[in-house]
Amino acid sequence: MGEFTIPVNKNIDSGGKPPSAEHSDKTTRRSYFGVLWRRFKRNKISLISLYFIVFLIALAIVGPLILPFDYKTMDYTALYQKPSLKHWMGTDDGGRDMLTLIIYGLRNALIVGFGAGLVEILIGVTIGALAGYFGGRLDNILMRFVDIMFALPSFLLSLMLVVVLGRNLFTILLAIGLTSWAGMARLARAQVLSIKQVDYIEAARSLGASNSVIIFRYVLPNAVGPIFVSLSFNIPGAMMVESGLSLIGLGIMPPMPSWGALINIGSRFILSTPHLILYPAITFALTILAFTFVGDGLRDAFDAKQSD
Amino acid sequence: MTNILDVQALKTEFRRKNTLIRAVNNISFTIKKGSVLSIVGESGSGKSVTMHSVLRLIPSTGKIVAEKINFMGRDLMRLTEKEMRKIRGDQISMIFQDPMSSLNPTIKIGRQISEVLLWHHKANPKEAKERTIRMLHEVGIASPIERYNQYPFEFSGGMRQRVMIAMALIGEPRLLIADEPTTSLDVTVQAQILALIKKMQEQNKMSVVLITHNLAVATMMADEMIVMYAGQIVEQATKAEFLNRASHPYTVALLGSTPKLNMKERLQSIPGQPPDLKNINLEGCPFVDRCSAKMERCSREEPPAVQLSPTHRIRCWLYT
Repeated sequence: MGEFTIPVNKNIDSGGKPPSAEHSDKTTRRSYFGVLWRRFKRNKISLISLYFIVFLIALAIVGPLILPFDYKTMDYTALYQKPSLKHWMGTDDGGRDMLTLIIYGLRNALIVGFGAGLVEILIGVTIGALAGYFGGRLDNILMRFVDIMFALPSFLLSLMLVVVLGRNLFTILLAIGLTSWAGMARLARAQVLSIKQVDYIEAARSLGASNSVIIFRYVLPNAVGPIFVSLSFNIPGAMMVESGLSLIGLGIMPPMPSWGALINIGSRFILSTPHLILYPAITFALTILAFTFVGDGLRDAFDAKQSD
Repeated sequence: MTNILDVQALKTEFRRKNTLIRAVNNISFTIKKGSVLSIVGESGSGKSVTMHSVLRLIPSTGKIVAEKINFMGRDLMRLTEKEMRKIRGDQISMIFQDPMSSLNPTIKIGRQISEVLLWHHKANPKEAKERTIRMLHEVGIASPIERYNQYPFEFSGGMRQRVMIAMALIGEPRLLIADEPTTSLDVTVQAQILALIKKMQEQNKMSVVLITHNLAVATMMADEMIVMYAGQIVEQATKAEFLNRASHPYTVALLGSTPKLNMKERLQSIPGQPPDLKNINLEGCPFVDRCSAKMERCSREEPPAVQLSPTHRIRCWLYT
């Protein structure tokens, strides 16, 4: 037992200048988001969709400022007009310019979509993260509440909320956000549960990090990937609900246009003047599709298994 | 030399449904100021859980009971969670086995290290940055100013372990717990990391607990050794005593199963499996089933602690 071979170098002062091999790997400057962006760019359809969404947002902001028409004024000398140089997308049954209506509809859809998404994130992620992080009884109570929210038909709930709260943009986005966060909560909880197991959480705790530091600096930033992906699918979802509400006449108060209301009106004249339903339906479909493609691209970009 | 850490009668148990797992079963040990203690043992012998228990960092299903865990005059068992948090990272730090997953991928290296100082209010952001850059240089990271602004994925495994060490040492702790710090690194990097830990230990005059299952690493670093088996300390000795007069059959078997250079004969192994902590035999010696020197009383009576020298203690019936 006397002799014991030690295979490692006993020289203990090599720490100051370690061999150059470890340093030789040239790292180019790139940030976390730079890498995400590079991966996202690889999917051309997603990239085009993203540009399209940016264009739509710009249109929704600038459009109302530069359009020569407004959405309120009826013109009974120009009902059901076909597309022309003056009215690019024709006019509706009140003689209003269709393009103007669609752009206002787009603005409202975007406000409701992003607003409801924000509400979903605020409620869903807070509840899910608390449940996942602290676990135990709190988890049980919160998740049973989530189960109940999940089981109730959210469209019906939104309807009831709209009836109670009133029918303006803000109440509608609230009514949609407040009823559709359950999925987000489950997702956030699952994310937090899995990230909680990773070594860097324990490492941070062993160095004196408090719960709030661990939640906000360590857990949530690492959970954003799937949450953003889910958000990019929930935004068009909220837009659909908004249109659905308008379609059955419980959406935004007319004369403020909404895509659902436009489609509703257009459907009555589908045989005589099909452009009344065609244009809003096509822009609606393209918008929803673009969000879905961006979601796909984001999901691939956040997928850690992909090489950078 | 005075003791920096004095653990008496520590027990850590995990309860799952109806089974009770005794991960650490009534152990006592001390660490002297400025010395290195190595804890060796097989996987599941309770070495990690012991030191995690000292920092009170175990899953919520676990329960820690101890007569006392005295660290620099304070009983860690009596501190609140908030007081405990002030000790972690400031007085006692820890580094982990897998550097690839021990750093937060979303925070730049520099921020991640300097935040430790900010959590403990030990510096303002500007000083923290300066100290971090100095520390990065200390742990052997070239061009620390550029590296400060890089993300963990831009670092190799060995470099990340250096960053982990910087993060653990930036608060100038008195005790560093290194939980298998080199297990997932390749051998050349292993040697560098161990040398770095040793250098920092001597420079800062801190104490180190090195948890490892690699006997070569343990003996290279340690002043004192603890051998654990099934949640118990079976042998405790200085390095010289460990290498020359290892006495417990388990320690002897462990040393016998270490490969040596220019070895002709077949490598020995310890027969049997490490014990299942769920149904451990509390009556006799936990090692009895695999012991080559077992006697009749070994499976009936718990072996006593025998003092072979003031610094050498074992739990075995052979030496009574």
